[in-house]
Amino acid sequence: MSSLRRESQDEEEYWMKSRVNKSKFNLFDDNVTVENAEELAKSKKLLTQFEDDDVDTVNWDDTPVSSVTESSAISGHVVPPSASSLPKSASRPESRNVPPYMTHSRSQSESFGVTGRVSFTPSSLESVTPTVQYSKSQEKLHSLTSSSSARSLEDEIPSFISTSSGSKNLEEEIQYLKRALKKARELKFSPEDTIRKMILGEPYSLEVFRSKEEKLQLLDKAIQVHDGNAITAVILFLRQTIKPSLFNLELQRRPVAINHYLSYLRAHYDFKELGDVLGMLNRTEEAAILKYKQAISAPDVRGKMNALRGCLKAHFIHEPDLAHEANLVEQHAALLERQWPIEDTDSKSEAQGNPLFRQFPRKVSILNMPLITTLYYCCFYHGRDAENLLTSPFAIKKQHQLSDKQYVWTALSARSRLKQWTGIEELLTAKGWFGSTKKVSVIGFDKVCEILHRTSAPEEILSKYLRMIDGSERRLNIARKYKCHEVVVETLVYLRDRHELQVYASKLPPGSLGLRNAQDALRSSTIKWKT
Amino acid sequence: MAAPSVKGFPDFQRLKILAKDEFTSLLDQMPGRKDLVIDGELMKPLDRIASVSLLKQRGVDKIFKFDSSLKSMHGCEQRIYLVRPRMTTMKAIADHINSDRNINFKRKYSIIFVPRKLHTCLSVLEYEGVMGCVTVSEFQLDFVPLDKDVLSLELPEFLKSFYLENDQTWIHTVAKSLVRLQALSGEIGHVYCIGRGAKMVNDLMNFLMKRNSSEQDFSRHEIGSLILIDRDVDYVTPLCSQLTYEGLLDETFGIKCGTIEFGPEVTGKQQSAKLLLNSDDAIFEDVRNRHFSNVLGYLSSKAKSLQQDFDKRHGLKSVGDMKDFVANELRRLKEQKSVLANHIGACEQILGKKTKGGFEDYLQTEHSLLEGSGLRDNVNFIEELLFKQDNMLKTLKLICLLSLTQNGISPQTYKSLKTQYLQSHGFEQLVTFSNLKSLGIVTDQETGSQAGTPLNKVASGMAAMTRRSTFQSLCKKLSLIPKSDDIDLKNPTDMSYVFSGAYTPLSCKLVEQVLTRGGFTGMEEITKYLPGGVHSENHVKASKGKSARQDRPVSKVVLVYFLGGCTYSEITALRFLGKLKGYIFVIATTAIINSSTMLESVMEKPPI
Repeated sequence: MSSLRRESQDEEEYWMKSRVNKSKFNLFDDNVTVENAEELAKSKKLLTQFEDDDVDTVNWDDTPVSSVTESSAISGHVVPPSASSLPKSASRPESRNVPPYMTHSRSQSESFGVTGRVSFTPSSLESVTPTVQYSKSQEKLHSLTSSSSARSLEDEIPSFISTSSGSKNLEEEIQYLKRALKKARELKFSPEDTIRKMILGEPYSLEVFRSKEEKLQLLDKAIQVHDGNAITAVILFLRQTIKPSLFNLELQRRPVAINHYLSYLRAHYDFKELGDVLGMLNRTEEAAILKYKQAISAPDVRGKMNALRGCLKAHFIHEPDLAHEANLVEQHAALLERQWPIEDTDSKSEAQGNPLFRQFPRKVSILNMPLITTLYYCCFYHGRDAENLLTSPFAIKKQHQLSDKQYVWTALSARSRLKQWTGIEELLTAKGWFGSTKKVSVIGFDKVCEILHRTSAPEEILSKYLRMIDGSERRLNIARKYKCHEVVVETLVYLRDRHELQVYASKLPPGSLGLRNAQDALRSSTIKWKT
Repeated sequence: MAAPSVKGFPDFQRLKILAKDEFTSLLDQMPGRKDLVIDGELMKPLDRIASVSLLKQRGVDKIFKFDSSLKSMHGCEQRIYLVRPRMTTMKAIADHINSDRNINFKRKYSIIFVPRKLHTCLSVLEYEGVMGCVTVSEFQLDFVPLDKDVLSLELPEFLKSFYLENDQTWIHTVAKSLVRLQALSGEIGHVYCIGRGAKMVNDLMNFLMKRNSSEQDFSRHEIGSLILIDRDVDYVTPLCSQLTYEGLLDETFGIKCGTIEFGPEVTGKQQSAKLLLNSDDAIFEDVRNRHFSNVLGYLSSKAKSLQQDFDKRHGLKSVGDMKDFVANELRRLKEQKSVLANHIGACEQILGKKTKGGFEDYLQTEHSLLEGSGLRDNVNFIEELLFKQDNMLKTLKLICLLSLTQNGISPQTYKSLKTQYLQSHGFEQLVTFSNLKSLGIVTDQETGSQAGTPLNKVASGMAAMTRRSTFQSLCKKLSLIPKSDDIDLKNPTDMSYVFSGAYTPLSCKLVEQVLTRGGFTGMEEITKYLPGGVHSENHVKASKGKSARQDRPVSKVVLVYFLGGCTYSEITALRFLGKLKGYIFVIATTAIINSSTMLESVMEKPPI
């Protein structure tokens, strides 16, 4: 079959040939009549008119076809009339049956573009030939053309060459039509099809969608089927192709799209735009947190301090809803401003061999440590520092409005670790009326004992505070837990529980103080034991 | 169609074989010697699919773990990257390629995306100017079968991506995994969706599947129903302390892709041991679903009987018997002994850690939070943990539970707890609180209604009607908190045994309800409290008579798919429910999570 052979021809050859072909048709050629030229201009105008319109293009395809084929009679002297009737019959029914935007494969729509072009040169049989070459899948066209063109390609080529006297205008025309052809090829993709292709992982092109409405249709379709990848792809396409004000407007109408855009910006480390979009959306808290996050990612402490102050001023202070967060960011900055000089001084002091640091070496730098850790550090190394110094634990408590509980818990742990028993006593002593003092603990003496036990305080100290626990049953349980025998014995005596005391005493190691006390109590005749 | 395998579980080995074949053919697309650079998080899943020897056989020369901090990499002249689709990864790969180009080193590159390529990734490659020298393909590895009844996408980032950032990129992966599964097991007739993501997955699945409207014999398919459930429907359950053996193993040592690594402190030897935890390990299979209180005793009795088997060798009479014993018994016994030793060692570690950390008090607080009692004491307990600077995750879990069970924390307490948390664990955690607020996990009662989280939207609507919180209402309506204290943990009769009888996992209870009611009808009083709503679809034509019959075995096979991850406790609870009600549950999930991994994925890292 000759059509098969033709099919094997490559594209270049086709264009070469068609250009040659085209040369027969020149606006300024003697062969062309005014009427003919008018037709051409008309069709060109139509072409421009419908460039962005997919539906009406069909008309374009039809109109020139009919009009030009009519005119073919005029230019009929170029070719045998028998041939001129052929493109007419070949192209017209086709264009009716299968409108180009309905077709599926690339080759089909190409062939249509060509068919349209062929009708501009309604001259020879040869002009039909290129059509056949590209209508790979159009059986109808194949059969029609192949029946009439019995000549082989080789036969035809010389005749093309003989007529090749190209003109610039025609080149332009071809370029123009090429674009139109591309256009026609593209038109077959609907937004739905494209989204489906994206979801199925097939090749697709977004560039074919030029109108804003189509682009938004794409976006809405992607949102409708819940594919994040497609949504993001379309958003980025939109951002590239429409102006920011329009882009933002359309984005704001689609919360799902906004979320995907934000997610993209986050993953792309595009924090500037991310902040801007959040600001535009009035999501002030998120914007502020974003800025805070950026500020704390500064590598050095000095930079971080500055960034925090800047971010606090710009994003937190003026937002009434963020008053609490503003306070926390303020505290963060203040903490760093305290840690920085402390670290500076102490690391020097340590290097100079300060005995305090030799006795208790610093494990890590205090920089970037949490506030409570810093408080502990200051209680540990600088517990006695005056309140006007940065290192003063009390100054920290004041500045950060720490609760008494937070303060006592931490200070107690530090002092117990340092075995500053008098210091602990001070901490737990409150001045009463008329200069009298009493032991109070905001955290409860049970917790005091827990801390003392954890920091392995001696039994004597532990017992002292165990005795301050209210409620004898509770005291008994805690004393048992920490194996403070003396207090257990005392409490059992207080509870007059002879049986329990006997049981307990039997477990005590011989010669211990606890056992002696227990035995004394058991022998005593003054105690009225519970019956 | 392949018949369901023994005990009614669909055979998921087929998934493995398919994945292996797909991967092999992808490797073959680059013939000859090549290096393989694997994304760290894909190492373990790939391990379950293909062996190193298979890779070698297919021309893989060296295997590298992908390191995004490297600016360039050495190796042979062909290289395959097997990576998750991430923009940062693409940038690093482009850097590798460009640095090769700068020194004029000729190399062929191929990037295999798991499970799919994303537009954003391709545009990074394009932007970096390397698109021309890489070939790009996809390895649709979705489900990794972890056990005969557990399928995981091994995609822990789903939680953050979908629920925090509202990014629907991974919905496609979930839907695709279901499409591919159904291509093997046959279409699933009944689909129930609980939550927002569940509905999306169902929509996309329908879009991807060409549902054959003509008559289908669903009874010959392997899975009868699918229940899709969103994690944001139930954040409470994963935040509860796990008390089953498998759950505790995960919380203590971390089970990764079905494998666990025991350090020297467990093995009692110099080297650590890697164990594959699944139903093939008979000892583990026996204890995995037990409440922890019931594990150590069993293991020690097992050890005794094993010892007896060992002692048999003294009683062997003939040389023939001896030979027989060495040939058959000894190997098995030795293997069992080492496995048993590891499990006993693990139990001891768990016990040690729990008793040291004041676990009893913690658990008591957790349970009273679930009950909604002793609010003041609970807050005090949390504060005390903060004073002590106790483990930041542990403390945060309780704060989360406090908020979730109470529809947010009262403004004053919220501020105070947040401030103290930040003071104890670093102000950077401000970001964490912001994330938890967006997720609706920790909210302020005052701003809760404005936060716009699904749970709170529901809650604010309800507030007028009842003073009880959403969670408390669900507890009451579904009787999640058992009334009697004495539950037999050894021979449980109720799913709540996984939490010592203190609480029945909400997610699992919903599954039970849907199955017993055959849908959501009559559940309006419950579903109105669930964020994201519910949806059900029936593809089985009831009129066709025989296909809809419930007595067919397939109707008892239920696929429960957790979006955003599920815990081992939930898996255990469903296994128990299956035994109790005669269902065969297959659990699919985007990842297996526990309270720590779940919170960590949305937390701000402390600065170092």
